[in-house]
Amino acid sequence: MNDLTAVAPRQNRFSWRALSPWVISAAVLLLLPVVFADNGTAFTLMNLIAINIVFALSYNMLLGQGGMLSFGHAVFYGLGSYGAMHAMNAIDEASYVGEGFWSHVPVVSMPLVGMIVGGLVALVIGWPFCRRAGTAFAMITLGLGEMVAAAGQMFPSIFGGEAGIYGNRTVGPQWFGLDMAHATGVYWFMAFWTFLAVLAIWAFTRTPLGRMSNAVRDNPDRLQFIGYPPRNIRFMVFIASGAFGGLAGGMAAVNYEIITPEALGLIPSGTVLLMTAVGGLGVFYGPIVGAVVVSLMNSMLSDYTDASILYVGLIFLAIVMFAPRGLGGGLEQVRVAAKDGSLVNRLPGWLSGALAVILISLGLILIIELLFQLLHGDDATTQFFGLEFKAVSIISWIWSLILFGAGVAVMRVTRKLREDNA
Amino acid sequence: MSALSIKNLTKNFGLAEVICGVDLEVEKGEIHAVIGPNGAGKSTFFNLLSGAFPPSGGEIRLNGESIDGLTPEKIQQRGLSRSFQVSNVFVNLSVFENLRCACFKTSGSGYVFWRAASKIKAANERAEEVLGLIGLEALRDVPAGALPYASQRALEIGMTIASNADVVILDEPTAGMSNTETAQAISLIRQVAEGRTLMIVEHDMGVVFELADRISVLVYGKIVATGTPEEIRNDPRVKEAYLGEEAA
Repeated sequence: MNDLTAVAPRQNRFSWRALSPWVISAAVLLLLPVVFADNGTAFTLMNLIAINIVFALSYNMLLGQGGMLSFGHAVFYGLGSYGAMHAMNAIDEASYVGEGFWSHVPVVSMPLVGMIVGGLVALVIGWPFCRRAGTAFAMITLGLGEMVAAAGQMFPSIFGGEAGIYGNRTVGPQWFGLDMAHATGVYWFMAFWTFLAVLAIWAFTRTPLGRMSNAVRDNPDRLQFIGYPPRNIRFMVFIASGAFGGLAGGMAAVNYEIITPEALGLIPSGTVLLMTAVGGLGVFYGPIVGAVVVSLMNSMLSDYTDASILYVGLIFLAIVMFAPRGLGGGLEQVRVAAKDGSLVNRLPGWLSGALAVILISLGLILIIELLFQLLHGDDATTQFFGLEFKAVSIISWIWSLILFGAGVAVMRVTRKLREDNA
Repeated sequence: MSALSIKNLTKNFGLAEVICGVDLEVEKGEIHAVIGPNGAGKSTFFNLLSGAFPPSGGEIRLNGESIDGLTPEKIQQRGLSRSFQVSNVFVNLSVFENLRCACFKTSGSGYVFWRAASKIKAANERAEEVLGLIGLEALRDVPAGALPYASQRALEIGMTIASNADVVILDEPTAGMSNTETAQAISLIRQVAEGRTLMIVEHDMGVVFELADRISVLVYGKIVATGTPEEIRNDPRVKEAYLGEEAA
């Protein structure tokens, strides 16, 4: 899995340069609500993305950093979310009565509850899982996901049955004057926890345990001969990853105020793998890119086309097959090239490649849309960048083939440009 | 007391007996080479010593303490460290990071997640020291998987000695090297051996006779001779093992 894995960042002394990504991210987080003021949809989306960023990064602690492919990561997210929701309800009841421990706990701290629950669950169940990585681990986590999702339906007092359980984020003491009844209040809550979680997960990669998790990914056999059992390292990484997955779940509990057993199942476990792989496992910020792109596609594409899920699947396939380092890996390549001055040499190859990919995609999209209209549509016309195409007209199909063919041609003609500088 | 004391060590894989009753005393501070024809069981012998496989029978004592049947990490903690015939490094980690990971055990910090790795002073200092010793300062930030072969072998040795183990076993450290590279490797091994007990499996007889204080000859899972290079050179059983019966 060489292509997929990270080269650990080199060790640096303190520098403003190293600090700049954090300053920029903080500035972006501060500016976003100004840019999207009064845009309810944007806030909904940003909160969703924030949750997914933490979720995907926690997953990459396992997959990208520790070399453990899990199909059950949503278990920690979901159980963290349930824990936070029950805590929120406890706050509700305690504040109504006006006494008790929970009456002093603010809703702002719910991600912490999710984190504790996620970490504890991983601590309790993880040890037998971590004996092996690879296929055995993947199969076991797949089973775990199915099992917990099924249990979710079986214990309605805890999981609320199919309808799930509800909560109210406006209860309890307010901290920092954060009014969770307003979209901006929720946004600041999300921004705060996302920033903190990303910082913590990044810091984890710099600790001895973080480095040992890379070591166990690269070569578990050798790890024994430098004095550490691979299982112990995997187990600790598993707990950390579960804890941050739970933290994302806690954020989700506050955001949605509802949680259903579906959140524990295979679909969210698959989505987090998809986001991480699309963004790239080998670069720290890869899963962030993936979370943003996949969240946006999942929620916005359906406004434009009926085939949105198909496109998400196609992009996933294309990235796994042709760009296994993901979007983040691509960005990193450009950044490194810019740094060592080879960007000018490589740019023609990359740009022509991008052009080819765009042309091929346009051709494919047109074909898919036309097919869709032909099979399902009432009027059998497709709006395509303002142009109308009729599925029944041969010209539409010729156009799609021309676009596709042009893309392939550009790809072939310019192949040398990319190989020479590879 | 010997650094390593091996008594009647055996190992079978199913019906095949690969190591059949090895007795060997490795003295403190010596460089002890194990030679033998292909398939004699040298690698298996080392795998038993380092805990990669449990022995089928017999006894291994490291500085007087029994270590047979322990896991590799336990044996490593007791002060026996090994290198591998095929480079066995963390390919995506930098050279320095490989060494530092190998130093965490000594500073007891492999599980630490509340401090930056760069703040673990003992591990960083030791990693720097070993980096200098193996002469890879210039390649410090290169991913280990991208190293030239000889440098990877040097890193392999560096990782083996990073923990400051007092018994080090090297499995064919110069295999596949050019003459120049071999000469460099020999001088590195000499430096590494200082203050330690060293066991080495090697095919290159030049290397063996130049380095070793004593040599043991392993043939079909048995040690047929142990002695100084001079004794071994003149031992008829060794000639027989290497050259066939007529030569004896």
